[in-house]
Amino acid sequence: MLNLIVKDILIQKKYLIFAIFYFLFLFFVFAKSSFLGFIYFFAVIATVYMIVTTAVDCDEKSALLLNSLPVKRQEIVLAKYCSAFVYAALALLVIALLTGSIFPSLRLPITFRPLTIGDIAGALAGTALFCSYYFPLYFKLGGSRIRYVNLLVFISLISATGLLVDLCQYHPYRVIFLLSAIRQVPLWQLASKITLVLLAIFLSSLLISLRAYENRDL
Amino acid sequence: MSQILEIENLSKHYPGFSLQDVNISLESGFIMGFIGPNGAGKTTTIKLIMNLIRRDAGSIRVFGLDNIKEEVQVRGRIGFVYEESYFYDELTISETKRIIKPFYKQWDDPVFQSYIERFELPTKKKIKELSRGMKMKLSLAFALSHHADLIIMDEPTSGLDPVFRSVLLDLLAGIIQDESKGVLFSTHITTDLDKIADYITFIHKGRIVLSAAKDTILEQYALVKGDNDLLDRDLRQVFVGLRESKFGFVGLARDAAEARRLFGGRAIIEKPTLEDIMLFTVRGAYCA
Repeated sequence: MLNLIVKDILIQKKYLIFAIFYFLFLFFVFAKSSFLGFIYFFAVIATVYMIVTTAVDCDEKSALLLNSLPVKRQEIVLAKYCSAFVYAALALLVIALLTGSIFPSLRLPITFRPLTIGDIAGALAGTALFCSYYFPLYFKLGGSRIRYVNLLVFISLISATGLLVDLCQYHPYRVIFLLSAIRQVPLWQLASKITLVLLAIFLSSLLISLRAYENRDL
Repeated sequence: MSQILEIENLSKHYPGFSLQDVNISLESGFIMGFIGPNGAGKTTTIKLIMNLIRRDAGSIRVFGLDNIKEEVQVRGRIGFVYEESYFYDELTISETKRIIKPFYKQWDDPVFQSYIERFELPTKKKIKELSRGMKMKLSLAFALSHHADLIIMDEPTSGLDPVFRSVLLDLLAGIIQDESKGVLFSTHITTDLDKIADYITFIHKGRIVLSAAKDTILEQYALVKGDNDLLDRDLRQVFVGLRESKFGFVGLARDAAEARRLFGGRAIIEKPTLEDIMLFTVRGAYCA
């Protein structure tokens, strides 16, 4: 399986380099905005999204080559999920290096907060959620058809954001009630529940992907 | 000699096309030509052998092993060359090798290097910068660099220049000197097979028309040429395919001995080529 992860990194190396420039752009543009709290999370998820979606485009064409090599389809699926986390880890590492070491040594006029455990947990949870949604569709439908689904999801997400803003604006008491209810739950309990739900979603996604790819004609 | 490939009653159904009851058997030490017109089912059969598509019925055993249950072991001993290049366009030849090499336990770097030099392939060039012929040569270099026991080729010569086609055929003839190896060579350029194939399997509309030793097939069939007035309803039944024109007829008889008995002295009887057999079988009776 390591071969397959190395393969993913090799075919995506130019996007990995591009991701570093993308981070610099994000950090400096949003350095003083209210998004600063989420900037590392967005940077990691955007990187994972960009690299994973472009990698599967390449794999779609090369699926016959890959599946003619002595490797099981299960391994190909597992490696795809692992690769996404490797990209997330690499992105986190670059962010840690930039904000913890490179930016301070350059004595820039802007200060960046250090990477926290919360950022790392959020980025990994986001990566797990992205994998859970994206890979079953990819392994079932293939790279060409998933583009349309992606577009639909993207439009839905934008609409959902609008609805969320409306909810906060017109029914603030409901949002406050919900947030207070969440705050009353101890942090460890909340974290455990979220982790369990995420794990259940992730494992279901993995099983669906394994089954879908196993039965797919190439 | 051992059975290197055994396909029994293999079926696969698609809307509009079905591969039905395919039976093929190849012993080590031989080259089998797999012929048929486009869309006959050659690539589907090869995809089924490689477990790229799911079979609906039948069994495939490679080196005596089930090709699905033991797929990793089976594929580790197969060298494959497909009609198109499925390499990653953005990678160089060296990077592609870095990806493919670790999958094979028996990968042989010096052998790969020797093919790269022999085929004059530029290792620093990206795959997308290579010509079709170069990509085919690269596929061949990969297929031959891990001491594969079965080489499967799907239309490898289409689009190649005659010089490299000849090199390829020589290479295959060399491989088969080692009697533990076998080659399944799918093509519609039957002249390639006239030179090197030991066995021929002919597939048409998803069914095997014939599968036997090449020499047996060429001796079994006969090409008959004569005047149209020789033909009557009964004699027409002798032919698999018949081409009639105002100058006379040319027909492929499925039984050469019977053709000699019926037409001896009155018509010209020749040994057909594989192309004749394929053409007449596919086209049947027609007027030129």
